[in-house]
Amino acid sequence: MPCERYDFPYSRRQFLQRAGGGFGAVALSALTGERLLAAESANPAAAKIPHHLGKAKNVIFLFMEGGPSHIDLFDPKPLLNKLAGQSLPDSFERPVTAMGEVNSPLLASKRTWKQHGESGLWISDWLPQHAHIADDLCVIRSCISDGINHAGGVCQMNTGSVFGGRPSLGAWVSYGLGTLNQDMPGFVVIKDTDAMIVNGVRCWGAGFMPASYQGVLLENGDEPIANLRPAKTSPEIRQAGKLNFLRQLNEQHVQGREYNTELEARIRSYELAYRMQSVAPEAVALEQESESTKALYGMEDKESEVFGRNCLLARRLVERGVRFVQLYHGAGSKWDAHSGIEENHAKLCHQVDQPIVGLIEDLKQRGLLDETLVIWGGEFGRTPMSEKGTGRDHNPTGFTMYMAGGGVQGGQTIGETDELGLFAVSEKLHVHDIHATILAMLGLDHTKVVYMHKGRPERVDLNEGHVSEKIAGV
Amino acid sequence: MLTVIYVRQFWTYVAVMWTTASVCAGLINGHDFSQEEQDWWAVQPLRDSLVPEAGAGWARNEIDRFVAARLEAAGLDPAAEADRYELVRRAYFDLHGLPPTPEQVNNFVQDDRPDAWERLIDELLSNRAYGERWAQHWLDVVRYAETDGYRADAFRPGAYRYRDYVIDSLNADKAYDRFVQEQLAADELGVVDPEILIATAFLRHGIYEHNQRNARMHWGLIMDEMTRVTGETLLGLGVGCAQCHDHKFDPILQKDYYQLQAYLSTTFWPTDRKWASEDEVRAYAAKNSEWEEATADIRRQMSALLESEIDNKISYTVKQFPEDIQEMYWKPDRERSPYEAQMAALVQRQVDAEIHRVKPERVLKEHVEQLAEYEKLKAQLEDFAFLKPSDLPTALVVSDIRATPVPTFIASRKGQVEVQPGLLTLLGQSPPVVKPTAHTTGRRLALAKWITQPDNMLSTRVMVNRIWQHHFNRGIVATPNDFGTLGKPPSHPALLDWLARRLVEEGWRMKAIHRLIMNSATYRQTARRAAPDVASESDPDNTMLWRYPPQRLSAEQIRDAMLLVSGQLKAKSGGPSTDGKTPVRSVYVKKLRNTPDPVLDAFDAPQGFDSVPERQQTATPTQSLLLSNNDWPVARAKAMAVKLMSQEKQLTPELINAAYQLAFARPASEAERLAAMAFVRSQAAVIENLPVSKKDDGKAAYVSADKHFPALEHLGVNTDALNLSRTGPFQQVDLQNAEWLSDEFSIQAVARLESIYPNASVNTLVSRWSGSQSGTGGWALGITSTKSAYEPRNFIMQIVGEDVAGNITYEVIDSNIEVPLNKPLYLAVVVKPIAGQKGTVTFYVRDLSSSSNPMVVSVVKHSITRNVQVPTSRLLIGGRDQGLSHRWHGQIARLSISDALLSPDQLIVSEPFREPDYVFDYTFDATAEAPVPGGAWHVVEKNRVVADDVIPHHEIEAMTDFCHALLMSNEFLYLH
Repeated sequence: MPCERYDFPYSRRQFLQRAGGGFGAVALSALTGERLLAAESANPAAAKIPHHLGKAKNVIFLFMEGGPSHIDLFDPKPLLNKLAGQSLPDSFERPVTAMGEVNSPLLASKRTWKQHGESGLWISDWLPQHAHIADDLCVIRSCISDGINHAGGVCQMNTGSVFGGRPSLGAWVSYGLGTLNQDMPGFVVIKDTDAMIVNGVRCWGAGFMPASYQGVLLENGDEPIANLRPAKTSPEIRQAGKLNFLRQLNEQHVQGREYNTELEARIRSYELAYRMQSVAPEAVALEQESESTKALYGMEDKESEVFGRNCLLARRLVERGVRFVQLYHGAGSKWDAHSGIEENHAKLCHQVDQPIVGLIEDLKQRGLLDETLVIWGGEFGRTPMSEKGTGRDHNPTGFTMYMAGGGVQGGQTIGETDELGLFAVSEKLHVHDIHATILAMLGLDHTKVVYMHKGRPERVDLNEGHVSEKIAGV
Repeated sequence: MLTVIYVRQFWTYVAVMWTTASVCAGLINGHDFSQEEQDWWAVQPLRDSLVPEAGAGWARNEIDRFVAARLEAAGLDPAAEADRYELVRRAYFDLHGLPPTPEQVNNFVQDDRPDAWERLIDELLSNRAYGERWAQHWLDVVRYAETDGYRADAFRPGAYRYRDYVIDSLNADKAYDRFVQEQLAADELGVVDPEILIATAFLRHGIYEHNQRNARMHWGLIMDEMTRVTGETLLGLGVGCAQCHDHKFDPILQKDYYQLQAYLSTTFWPTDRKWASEDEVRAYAAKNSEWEEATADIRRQMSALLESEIDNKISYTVKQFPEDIQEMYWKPDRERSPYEAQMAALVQRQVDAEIHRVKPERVLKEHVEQLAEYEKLKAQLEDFAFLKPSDLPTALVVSDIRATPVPTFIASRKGQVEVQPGLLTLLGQSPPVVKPTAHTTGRRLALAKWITQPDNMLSTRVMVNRIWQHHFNRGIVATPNDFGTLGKPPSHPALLDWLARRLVEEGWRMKAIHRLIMNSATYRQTARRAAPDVASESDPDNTMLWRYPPQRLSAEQIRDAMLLVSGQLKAKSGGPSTDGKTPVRSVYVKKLRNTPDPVLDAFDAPQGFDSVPERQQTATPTQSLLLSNNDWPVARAKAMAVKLMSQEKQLTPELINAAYQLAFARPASEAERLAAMAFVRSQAAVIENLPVSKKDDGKAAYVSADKHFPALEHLGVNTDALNLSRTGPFQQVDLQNAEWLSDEFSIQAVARLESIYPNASVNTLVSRWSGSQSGTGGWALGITSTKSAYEPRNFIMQIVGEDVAGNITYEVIDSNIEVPLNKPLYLAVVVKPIAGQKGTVTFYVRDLSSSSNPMVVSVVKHSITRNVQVPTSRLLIGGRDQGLSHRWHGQIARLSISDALLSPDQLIVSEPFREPDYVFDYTFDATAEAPVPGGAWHVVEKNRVVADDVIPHHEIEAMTDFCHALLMSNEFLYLH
């Protein structure tokens, strides 16, 4: 329905007092599309949140785009090496795979496996630095998705559905929790390459929610947010004059129309935008960081420099109140090792290993890890069956993700795949469950974060998710 | 009496009224519905509503009496009538999606005939712009888009024809019943006209995954999407909820969902239907068979060379599907069940795509003799090209795969149960009779006929509600796609039924309903009214319409209005979509699901994944950043300022007034004029005092023409020449007032090149291109460097634009003319896009150091058809709008760009001082403030554009800032 946001208290002044936040609150309500007066609310989420005290306040989602091989990283399968070269035994159900590699010979994993930390978590030699954070990780080996292709997989991991059109997880979190810092977007996305993510900008879209919840792509260079800088011909002094005149125009226009709070909201939105022009560049000014911090993030190593930089940016953004930061690694499906998985994964793992460990250690050092939920994973895993002799096909029926910080019970492994790592067999966690659990970690009851759309109460999990109590510790 | 009930409990009234009409409680078609379910308002028959006796002295037509009855009962009065300025702006935005021009405002304001308003509405309804605006509402609902919406997001070249069908249908005031029948079942109506058959794309706008091997699941998703959109769009039923279980809140059974789906279950998406009349198809076939006959032998030999590769591709592709699907594919078609045929069609589409990717050059790379043989055959085949008719475009239509239906099943724990086509069980109606046609099941037509029965209580209410919604920014039912209990109940139920009946009585003509609504006193109320005390209590959301609802303009209205007031909006009436940077109406902008136009996206245009019945209306800092900092709005403001200044030549109060009239459709008050004048003057002073540093760095911007271009006055050379270097502040000139250039154009230059790059960079003379080889159009004219694949010092043109198929293509067109260094040169190109067979670029080069040197001419073919010019891209002299490379090192003494195809005798070497329609014609004078009128030095350092050293025409710039503020203001962005 149209967002005709008129608030009708007895008088304007009274309303401002009652709303508690004064002018800013009115403007904010119009900006975010939320109504402040419960009586007018058509939106159960406005009933408010947090529903119970979750520990996390922020999320950093490390998205390995293309699908990393769980059976070469966190889920060792001795039987795989025994049966290498043979076809999938008849006792296994046959999945539909993207490239039809169901009957291809099984491909051995060449990894060396060790248990790490006090918890004895299994991690392969492709992620040697991860040994230092083993006790912080909650490794989920039984993830399931419905998307056998990248488009569906990435879409579902981001929005819950293999079809486009729904809000992304970051949008749900922004919607559920609101923003901590109005001078910064609440949901920020950073990619490691110039290539676009599968499905493009809708990966961080707001779907059927108002655009105010959508993610903002942080770009490299000195204009980190699109349109952050005025046109080249309009230096500060000139822009200030223009915006001042605009304000005059708008203030005159609102005379006699004060009851339309959306007009005020838009006046405020120009002020916010203007402030963002100075705040956002400061947030990404990595020169403020010490050399040792940069080294911690692996920024001295050419290979891991880019992702290290992005991880460091993520920490700075979280410190500045950004709720949801999503870092893509391998943007453009780089993890998609249909052939040559040895070279592909060796390189990509090296690019992320130290940066992720650095991020988690730095967050811990700064006391931020408890309130920051770090999530690692791709849109699916990879098959035990080979493809083109040296690669692996997509495997959405059983794959690994991990979580750390934000109240997660570290040093544990949840769920299992079958003996070849093809299907999840115990404590299965569908993407819907993962999303429900992430909301729970943030103190939100996923059954109550509801957005009314076309007459239907919509939820992040399409009404199908369950919180994993083991992860959330609730 | 009715009104008394209204006051007490509106819903009681609704229930009471309808209970009398409803069926007795009990079993309906074997299902036990509760009394409450049977009383669901939306399924009650249309009532013959009595027009209330209310609104005396105010009401203009029946609508007002219904509205007044509710207002009076609530103790409210309607708002005063809006003044003429408010009305005219509302009417234009509402019906055309554009603001009125100052002349149009004046015409209406000064029209003192009593029926001036009615005349205006009639006039607006008869203009093409009406269809362009109202088509957008329908396109939102049917999730129209022009790409597949998955990873590859492949473009659908013919999709735009559906958009044109909707625009044309609305403009022709096509009856809504026919409009629906055509979209569901044009093929089953016996229609052969391709312009009508395209209507069935309604069932084909859903997303498609080009590499999905799980064919059963894929088709299931497609069918579900089709069912959902049909239910929401045409019946206002959120049937999607009933896909997995009986609807939790509405009396819609899971069975009902599948009964509806059964009407659609036999459809498929053919890839071989042509956008052509039957005659054209016949003529094509006749001509083509001639060609086939003549070339049969050659083609047989060619395919023999590729046969094994193609066979490999087919089996490789098919093998990726599950085994049962493979079996279906390999079966002879006549042995396939209809469902198996649908599966095989899905596989075939992927097979075809794979075969299409086979490149003979690559396949035969290692078989030199075979490749030579292939090339030889290909050349032979070329000789018969004259016989080959041009390919007919493919039509994006839907039909049935067989005349025998594909069965529809409900899966449950107990197993599968087949369902037959049928209606909502609750309605208790027997399903319409289905009559198969020769090639189709007839089911879609049966559904369409039922939906468009004059007494269909759902479709009629749904459509009048949509019309009402777009006039008042909210429907009588505020959830236009969901008339269920999770949606909103109607605010004026009796009026809704009265209007629904009226639609049918008017022969389903929508323009009649527009007239009725817009001519009402309700519509003519002012939006400028604070809530009366009573309304604050009882109706804060203005559902009773005690004023006209204020609203923000939609994305398309904002973009189109900016183009119109800047004087840049170009007329376009249908045809292939364009890039968002082309100054045409937004309904013609490409709708790419994964890469939405940034301006439209920021203002809540839907992405086309789902039926969207109403727009979001947000106010975000992202929008503010876009409006204040993005090049696009700034360029509109600049064009508006230039247009205004070109009338008055100086800052005057009249100019301010003219700007107000353009942007706000009203004159400025005296106070506004004074305030604006004060701002423009002070801003001009600010701009004038910005640091200017034209001569720093010791590198001169100009060099005397005598030095490098002696004795060339006869070619129009002025006293000086531009002196461009690859570093320092004088690298490129930005022609900021670039007017609209067409795809046919000519460029001429008198220039000198001092050096070329040691690598493969291009020494760019002039360009309008970011360097991107996909996405948007562009071009650059230059000379190659040492390591170029096209030989060094070759005069070339790089073009990005659409080819015949509508794909963005990049081509390097090389003249093969070697250009000398350190010589005065005449360089020219005439760029002709494809027309008929091939487009051409004609290159001209003459070394001007001796008058006896000949002109060298070269004509080169290319395959670009259109969308080369992207008007908001920078037009740069001496480089490209991309990084630090591809610069011109040398001098330019004259540069002319013409918006026409110049013939040899029109070139400046033939006729230097004639006045052809040059868009630009620059010569240079070192004493000038700016390098060229309206242009400025463009300096790029390490990928960063720094402020211009020279800001010319500070008054134009100040006026630009003023116009920019108007375009960003609330008065511009809202109807309030």
